[in-house]
Amino acid sequence: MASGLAPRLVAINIPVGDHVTWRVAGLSFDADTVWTSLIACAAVLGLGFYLRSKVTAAVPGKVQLFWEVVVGWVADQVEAGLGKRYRHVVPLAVTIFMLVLAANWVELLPGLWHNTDYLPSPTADVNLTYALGATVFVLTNGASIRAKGLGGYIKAFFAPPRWLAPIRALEELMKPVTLALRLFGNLFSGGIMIALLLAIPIYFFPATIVFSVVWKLFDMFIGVIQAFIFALLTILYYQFAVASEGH
Amino acid sequence: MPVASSNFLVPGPTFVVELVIFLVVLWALSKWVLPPVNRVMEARQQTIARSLAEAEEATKRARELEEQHERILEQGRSEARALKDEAARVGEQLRQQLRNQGEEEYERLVTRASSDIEASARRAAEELRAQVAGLVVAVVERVLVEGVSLAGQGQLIERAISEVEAQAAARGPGSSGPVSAGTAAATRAGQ
Repeated sequence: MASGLAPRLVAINIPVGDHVTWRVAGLSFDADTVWTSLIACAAVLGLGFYLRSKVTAAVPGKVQLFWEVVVGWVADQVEAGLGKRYRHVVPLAVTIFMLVLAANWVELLPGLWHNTDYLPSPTADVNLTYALGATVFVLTNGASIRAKGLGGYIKAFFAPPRWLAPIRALEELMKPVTLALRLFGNLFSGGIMIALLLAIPIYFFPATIVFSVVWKLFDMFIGVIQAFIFALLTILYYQFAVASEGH
Repeated sequence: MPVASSNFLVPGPTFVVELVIFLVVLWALSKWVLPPVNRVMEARQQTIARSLAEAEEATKRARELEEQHERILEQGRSEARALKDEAARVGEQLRQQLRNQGEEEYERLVTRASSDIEASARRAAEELRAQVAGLVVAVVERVLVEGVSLAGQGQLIERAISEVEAQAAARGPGSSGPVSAGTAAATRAGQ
């Protein structure tokens, strides 16, 4: 740390979009994103299997209560917007919420590799957010085709006024992209903010520490909000997709 | 490890790894975690619904019992009222009966007293008649024995009366002395 202080006093150098990479069979993988995704995945599955071992219909523990709040909220949203027929959307939205939340909160852990101040969130890498967006895109459009038939699905784009058809197609294509980039942008900028705060010269201590702590707490809040928005929009896109006429 | 810098908005091969990680989490949660959570949530909802139904049933039962209690109390009150009325009626009947009996007894006593008085009066009249007869016989006896002058007539009568009174006093009240004296005088006059 001491060696890292001297350059900071004169200049800051925040890496943007840099990743530690693995090269496998000629392909370049972002090792930090994969690792942090696996940490988030382990956290979600660990909590899930811990819950499975302790689950009770009597008085629930804190972990169970947390899961029940999430599942209850998602189930209410799905039931209100889609009805009981689409209960299979609940696991998708719950998984998105839990995984995105865990991924967002990874930033609270101390860093490794090239960034020792904090562990970059995997949601600050478009690869994870695009993967989530693509899954939602495929599933919602699949549900739309199942609900309306392929003809009905295509016809929906050409509903009057017909000249809006390209806009409708573009909107449909943009949905997963906006989903992914909204999440990515928030977390990516959150990471940059932490890096900036930590780059405040040491003679402003303790302002550095106070700002960092306050920002990290705010970042936690943003993490919850973004997970919530992603899950809610997934349900809404499902709702739009299976709606009988237009949107 | 090498650090690569590129256009961070363009996905790379990591996309596939992330997709696999997401699908694995989705599969694991759908298969292993969410079903038991849904089960216990449904079980708890059923328990709550059952408890609410039981509470409602208990409230209904309590209300019924209260109504029953009130009904029994009202029944008791009306029975008590009926008993009080019956007691008042019986009391009045008894009082009337006793008054009737008293009046009858009074009538009987008065009737008996009247008949007693009547009998006594009749007896006294009979005694008086006997005494008067005896007196008349005694006076007549003296007149026949001693003769009567105008001057001695008054004395004779006075003496005869005194004798009769003395005889009556000697016999005591209520006796039939004068009657027997009169009878004896009449017998003697007949001889």
